Amino acid sequence: MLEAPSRKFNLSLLGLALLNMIPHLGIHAWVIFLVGIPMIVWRFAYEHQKVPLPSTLVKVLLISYSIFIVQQSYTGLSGVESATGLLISAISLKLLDSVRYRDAMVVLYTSFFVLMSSFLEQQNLAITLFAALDLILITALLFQLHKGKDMNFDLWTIIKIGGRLVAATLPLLIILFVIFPRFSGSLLNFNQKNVGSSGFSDKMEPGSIDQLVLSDEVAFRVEFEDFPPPQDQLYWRGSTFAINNGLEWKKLDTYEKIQTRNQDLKGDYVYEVILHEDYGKWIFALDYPSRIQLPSWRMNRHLRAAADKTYRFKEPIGQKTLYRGASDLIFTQSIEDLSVYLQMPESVPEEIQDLVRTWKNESEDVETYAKKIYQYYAKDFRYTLEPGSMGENSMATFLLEKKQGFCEHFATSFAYLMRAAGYPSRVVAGFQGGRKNKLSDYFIVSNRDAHAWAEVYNEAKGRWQRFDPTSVVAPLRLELGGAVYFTLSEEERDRATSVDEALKYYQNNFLVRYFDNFSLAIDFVQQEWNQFLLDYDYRRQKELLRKLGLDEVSKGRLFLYSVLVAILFFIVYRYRKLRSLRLKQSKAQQIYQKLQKHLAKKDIVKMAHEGPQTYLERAQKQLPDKAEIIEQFQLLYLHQEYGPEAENDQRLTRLQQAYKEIKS
Amino acid sequence: MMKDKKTYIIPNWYGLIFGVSILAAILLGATYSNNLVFAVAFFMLALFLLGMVQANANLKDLDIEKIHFSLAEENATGSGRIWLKNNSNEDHYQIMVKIPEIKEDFFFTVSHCEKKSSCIENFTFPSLEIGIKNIKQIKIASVFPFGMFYVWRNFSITSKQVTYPKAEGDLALPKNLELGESYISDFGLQGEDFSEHRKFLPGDNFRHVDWKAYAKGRPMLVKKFDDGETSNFILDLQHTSGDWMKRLRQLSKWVHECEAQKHAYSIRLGQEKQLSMGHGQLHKMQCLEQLAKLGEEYARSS
Repeated sequence: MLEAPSRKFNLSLLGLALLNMIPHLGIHAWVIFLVGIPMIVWRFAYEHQKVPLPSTLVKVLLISYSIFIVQQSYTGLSGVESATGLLISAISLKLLDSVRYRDAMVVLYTSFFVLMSSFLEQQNLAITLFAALDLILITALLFQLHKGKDMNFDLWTIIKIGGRLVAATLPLLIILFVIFPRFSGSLLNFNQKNVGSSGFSDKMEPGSIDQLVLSDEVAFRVEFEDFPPPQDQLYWRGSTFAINNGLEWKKLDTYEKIQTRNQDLKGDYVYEVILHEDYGKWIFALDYPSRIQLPSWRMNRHLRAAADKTYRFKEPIGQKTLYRGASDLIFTQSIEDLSVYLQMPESVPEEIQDLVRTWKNESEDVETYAKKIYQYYAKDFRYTLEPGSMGENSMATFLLEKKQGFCEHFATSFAYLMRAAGYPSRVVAGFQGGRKNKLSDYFIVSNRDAHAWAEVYNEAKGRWQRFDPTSVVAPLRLELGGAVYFTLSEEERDRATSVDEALKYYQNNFLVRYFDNFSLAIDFVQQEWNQFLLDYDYRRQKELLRKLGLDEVSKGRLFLYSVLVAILFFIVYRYRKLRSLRLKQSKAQQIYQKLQKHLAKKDIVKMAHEGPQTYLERAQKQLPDKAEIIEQFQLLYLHQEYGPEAENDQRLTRLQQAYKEIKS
Repeated sequence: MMKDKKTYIIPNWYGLIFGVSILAAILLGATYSNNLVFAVAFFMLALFLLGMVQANANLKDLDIEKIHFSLAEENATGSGRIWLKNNSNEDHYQIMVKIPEIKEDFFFTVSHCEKKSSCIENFTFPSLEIGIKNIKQIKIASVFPFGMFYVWRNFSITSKQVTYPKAEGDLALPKNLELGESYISDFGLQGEDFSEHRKFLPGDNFRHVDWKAYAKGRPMLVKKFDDGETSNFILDLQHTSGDWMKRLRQLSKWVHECEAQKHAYSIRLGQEKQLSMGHGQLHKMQCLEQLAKLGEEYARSS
């Protein structure tokens, strides 16, 4: 029915298709774009009459190839990632077809879903701003497609038109966002990402964390309900590793489903964490967590806990996650089989056995034995992110020859030495520290804070006890936090003898001096936005409605209210338009209208065909005693409305006075 | 122009698909407890409602002032003109004007009609069968601004569209076939002697209006000239040959030739039916309309 879109429209559509790919770059397999982008380029060349469109056979081959690529990239065609890959390919393929009205509509509708699929991968301020721009463009193109050929396609016009339309939807969008009942369910059972891309895995081998600390990306942000623990107590527990094979450790898979709903969060510290989407199944909680609570029923269903006080998702969540946690300062009792924490590799080198034997003989308990190991580290061990390869007999090489490494080397070797002496021990991976944003009260924990430490079971105390051997070799790492510590050069780290001196070096850094406050401000906005986005669930919705005086509103009623609001929007929108028509009357017209009403009461009703001149002349005849002032009103009005001069405030005042005089 | 005050609105296929997409988006938001997905879903819902409001507004206060169809030749393209009046305070876009009586799926689009103004649109239409079509209803429709809703209004009108027989035939215009009643040409080409005035009729050439007389307050009059050598033609159906349609087409051709050569002419369609002698656009239209009527009657009877 409508005309085929113009060339300019098609080019804009190509631009939109490319734009929609941006949030997915770096997340999806590059081959998806290697197929999609050339197709868009092909169409672009066609629009410039350089190449013909592909034949049906080529198109069929391209479709098959795209499906094959997606299938290979995501090992199947089900799941969110595969669906997104298919959507991106589908849009590119559709553009290789001759774009008619229907095709343009398909591309525009699909664009909404490509955008939404990017929210399943990331939720932050940047993607929100991108989404706003994307929605403006989609809406503008939808509008331009129906406006016909007399449309303008420069970017500013498109943004202006789209912006106006999007602004018109905002009131309803906001109201619906606030009151539409938040329900969660797993009606669609898409799989999320299978693995996180954080660098953490179920196996700890030296090299995984040192790569992680090279990245300064934010891992999670934490806000404590009351006061935070001291900096050196900020240990964020992620996973423990119990099965030992030298420097390589593996975790025990002992996670079980837990009941977390409707349980109060009680502990020494209660806090709220917003975890980055890259962490797959992992959950990080302050040592030692007693309870974790997720906002939705669906997410809580996937929460698993282990006896070692670590938490996991059953399946990777694949999106930014908000959860609350409660932690205690000491490890409270849990029932565990300790024998598994004594497992050692078959052969322990003789020299290590000698060291262990000597220390054990000189020690009374776990703590004094640990001190011996600390002293051994303190003597001639060095903290470095580039220790080099440890070879086949890795533990012996590290402990007896190289004597340099980073947190993983120290934590795993410490646990190893503990086990060699008969003390149950394990390695814990997670984060240590975090940087407080001085603009607010939350901590930013970045990948630079990634850390590993050891835990030993203290039989005398009847609980697990944390030991962090890194504190002996690189105390500044714990006192400053990873973000500050790794910003310093290796030379500065070695030179600094105190925290203050290290901080002085840090503050002299060019980027820190000029951009630190700025980046903290950006982070603050990001945190506020994340909190709002992730935290606005059914519970928060109820809180807000309670504040608005709408206590105890059921979901059904909320849905009903949403529908009513939508209808109200429709009515108000129409009313506003009608009102705006009335408001478009000039002030002189409004006064003239009032006069008409007054004269109508005296049976001088304005006829449809009468202009102000004839009507007021008739009024003069019918009201001879007011003839003079009506004539004055008539002259003033005609000058004000139709005279060559611009509107005149003085004249308007006189018009108002004349009206009052006629009325009196 | 009678108009139906009601405006009808229904979601079209694209609207229904968009509605289903909104539901899918809400489910997606719920499944992943993702507020950004919810936000896009609500945006889509708001856009849907905005589309409904704006689609309705696009036909609001829009009237058809007039519609005119030019005479169309058989199996050719006809043309027409429509006058629309936009009384609203908003510009209207992409208004489809549907005239089912021309052809079931016939429509043309008025791409833009400015607020508080009239807009005129010329259109063409396929002219197929000979005859006179009485146009009683016009539908204006729109899917603007987002293509999700189909809005329409019906207007009752009284107009006609005439398709006359194609001007073709082998016979040359018979010179002075029959000298009929004395007819004085208005063209003033055959002679220079002013004869008399007659009242101005639609279709008369404005060059022949006696403007001086009009300026003096007299009604619009046309000057008549007489030199006694006028060419008058009675175009008689009996002087044509072949089947009925062929004969009507021949007459149509003669009418066009007479008009082109500025002769006065009359057509005779049997013993009882003869149009008066005349010339000019109005006369031509009357003659061709008669031929169209006759052609339609013939087609119906056969």
